[in-house]
Amino acid sequence: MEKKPFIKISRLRKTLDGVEILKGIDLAIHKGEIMAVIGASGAGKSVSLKCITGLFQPDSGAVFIGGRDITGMGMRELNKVRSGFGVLFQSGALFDSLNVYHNVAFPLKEKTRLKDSEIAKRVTKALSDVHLKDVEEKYPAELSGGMKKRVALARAIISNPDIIFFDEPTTGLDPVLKQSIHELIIENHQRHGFTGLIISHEIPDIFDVADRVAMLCDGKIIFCGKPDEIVRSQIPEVKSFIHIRDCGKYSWDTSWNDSMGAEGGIKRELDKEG
Amino acid sequence: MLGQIIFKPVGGWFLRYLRDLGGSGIFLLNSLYYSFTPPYKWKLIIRQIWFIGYMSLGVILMTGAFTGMVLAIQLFYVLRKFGAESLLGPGVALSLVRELGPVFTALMVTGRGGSALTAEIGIMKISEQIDSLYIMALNPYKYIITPNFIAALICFPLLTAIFDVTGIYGGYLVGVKLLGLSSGVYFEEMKGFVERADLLIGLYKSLSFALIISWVCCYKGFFLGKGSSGFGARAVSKATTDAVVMSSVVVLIWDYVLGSYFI
Repeated sequence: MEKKPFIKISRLRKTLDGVEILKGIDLAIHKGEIMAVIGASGAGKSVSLKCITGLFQPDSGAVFIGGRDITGMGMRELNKVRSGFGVLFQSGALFDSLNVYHNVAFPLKEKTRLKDSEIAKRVTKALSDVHLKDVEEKYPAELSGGMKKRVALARAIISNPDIIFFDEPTTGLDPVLKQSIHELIIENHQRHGFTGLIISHEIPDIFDVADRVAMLCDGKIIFCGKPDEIVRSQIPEVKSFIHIRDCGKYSWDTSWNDSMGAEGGIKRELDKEG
Repeated sequence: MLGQIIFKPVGGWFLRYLRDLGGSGIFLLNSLYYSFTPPYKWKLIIRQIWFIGYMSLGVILMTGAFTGMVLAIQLFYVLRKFGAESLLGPGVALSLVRELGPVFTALMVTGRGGSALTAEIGIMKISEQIDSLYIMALNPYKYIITPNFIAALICFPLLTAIFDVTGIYGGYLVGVKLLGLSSGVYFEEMKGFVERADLLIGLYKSLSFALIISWVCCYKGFFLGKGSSGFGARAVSKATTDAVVMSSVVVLIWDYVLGSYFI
């Protein structure tokens, strides 16, 4: 019998300023799974994430989380569902006026009745989970881009959410930092076992993080499958987006020529040659 | 054809205007509802009282003093023509308490605090800090909007009172020390002319201005990106300018409405 999905998106449609962004998205994510949604800029990735988290009200369709449709829910009910959410925004979305400690402690301070000493312990643990130390007193403006993402990840995991949404978590970071953020996601997923939805266009790196990958193109999901399946896909839009001749262990049609993908491929070849 | 060219854009603009108007009305109702229902975020309220109230003291003292001084010079010039210089004190006091105190305080705080408020909330909007509050299942109104409403409602009457007193002493400096009016006449006549109702009018005006300014400035920041201004630094700058201009205009219009009602 097929497993019941934890997050199910059904025929989701959304129009913004007269432009139809989402044209009927269907997607199912199982509990404990990490799903990556890839797609070109403007494909509707962030809008779909906002619909899934309830920030946008879709024009039609449904978003089931834990079996309950959140579209059309009142704020009180929606907040109950959201209390199981964690989000790592593209910009980190840390509160400028709070230092790192208070940023990370914020969900616990505002949503629980834990004692300060317990909160302090959990903040230290969350920061060590993202390999940060001695930054508690710093303010977001004093942190580098990578550190901000780590602090945001610590804030997302501190309340042990069932689901964590990652909105382009590595945008604007150098390759080393990208790798480290991806490793942190994997490490914390193994530790906490959350269900993850990652919006990304980091190809092929995201294939190491995600259990399954869905590709969004022109407001529709045109592919959904395992990472090694997407690189073998013959769907023209998928092929042209991936732009890769050599994806390391995700190798595929190497005869396919593409100038954008050549650079990455050549670099990997050079690395192999040593 | 003509309908497509003229009526479609005009109709579209009108519908957008109505939608924004309705949206801002709902925003005001939500803000007031959450301002008067617990729990209160006292730390944030005190921080905003410090920002709106304490940080505006300098500009209020300065403008209050000079407004009183200018008023005294101009009134003295007019009153001398009628041989009624002794009415300088009541003239200065009534003008300040009923009219200039609340209006100038509102305009000064809009320029200093209102613009900063819109910019701060707007930046929180574009950096997804407001979205992150929603997703943490927390109410952004409680954290961002209501502390400003409550702080403004507390600070505006106090700042207006400080403006009035400073202005009256500014008028005293000019009228008594510079133009040679008797100090006793200046203050004694005031007692007879300035009534409790005048003070209450000033209080009502300052409270309503507090509401208008926090409403407009918070709304402009909170709904940044609505319309054609986009969603970046330019949108923040446009929202800030719009907030200051709109607050100032609405304050002056509302001042006229209240002035007509209370006359």
